[in-house]
Amino acid sequence: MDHVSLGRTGLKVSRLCLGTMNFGPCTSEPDSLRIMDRALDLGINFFDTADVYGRKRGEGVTEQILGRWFAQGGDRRQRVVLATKVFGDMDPPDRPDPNFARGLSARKIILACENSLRRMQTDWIDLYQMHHVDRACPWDEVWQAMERLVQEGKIRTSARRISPPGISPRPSTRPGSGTSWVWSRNRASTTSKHAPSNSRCFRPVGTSAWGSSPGAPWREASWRE
Amino acid sequence: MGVIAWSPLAGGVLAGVSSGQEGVRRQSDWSKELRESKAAELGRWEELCRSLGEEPANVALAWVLHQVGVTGPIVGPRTLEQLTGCQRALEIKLSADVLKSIDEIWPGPGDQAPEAYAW
Repeated sequence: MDHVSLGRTGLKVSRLCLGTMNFGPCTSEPDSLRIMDRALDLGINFFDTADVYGRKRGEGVTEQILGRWFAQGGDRRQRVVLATKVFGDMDPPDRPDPNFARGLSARKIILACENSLRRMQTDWIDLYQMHHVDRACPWDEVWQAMERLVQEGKIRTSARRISPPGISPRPSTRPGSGTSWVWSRNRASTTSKHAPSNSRCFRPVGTSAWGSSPGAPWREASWRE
Repeated sequence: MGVIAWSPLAGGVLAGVSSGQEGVRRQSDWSKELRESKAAELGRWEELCRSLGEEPANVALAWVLHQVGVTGPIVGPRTLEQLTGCQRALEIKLSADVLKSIDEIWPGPGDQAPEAYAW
């Protein structure tokens, strides 16, 4: 399995990233554990999850499965570059709480991160991603929370941001980031007349081209700051 | 820049009808609708993959891996077989002609990202 740098970071990740969205909702826990073991055996060291995965079955069900897998030891946690996400609804269905609902307030980010760490039985997240953008939350607030998490050692890589055009904040040149990533995701689903594909994208601030998957929109679409 | 492509198989739609697997996400409304609205393109896509002698899912992953600047796709296996099967994607070399054919089947949306195709 080839390993490449994740963008301009020094982090080396496998070219295939293991997505875990099925773990819990579709794939049993024993099978999920086996898949993760096999992935490591195959050299896949990049695992992606999200706090909301498995939500219909309970709080952070997928992250909990990852946590029980890490807890098996064998350096499983150390061998994995762990990516998770924050943004989605994490309030209990029977007790709606606006501060746990979709969003990226500093309070939400910090609590969500701590809860993800607890569920995954780990001290750190390698790549902390914003699952979407919170148009109601000032970017300063988002950055402040992410930077604090980096300083506390709870996330290893700097805050990233989601950046649809028209809502971009000023470029981040803050310390601790080294590389300032812009993160975005696209979903060309039933509402799209175009490529049946989804993607997530990181890009350094200041560049304009970036990508999506099949249909090659990265060659035809561009971002504006 | 690190780019990670999620749902590279569009919820299984690009994996081909011939694969005979009844994935959970394939049953979702949006994937059904996508399959219907893109029936012609999917026919051409699967024909192309057949001509290459490769599984459509692996060609879709290989396409992502061929894009300059892309770190890689996120594969979300439901079974161990799906995980081990996708290793083949790393070995597939797509020629310039094949890449062009894929672009013809699945043209980019053009216009301003991401509104042209998302949100």
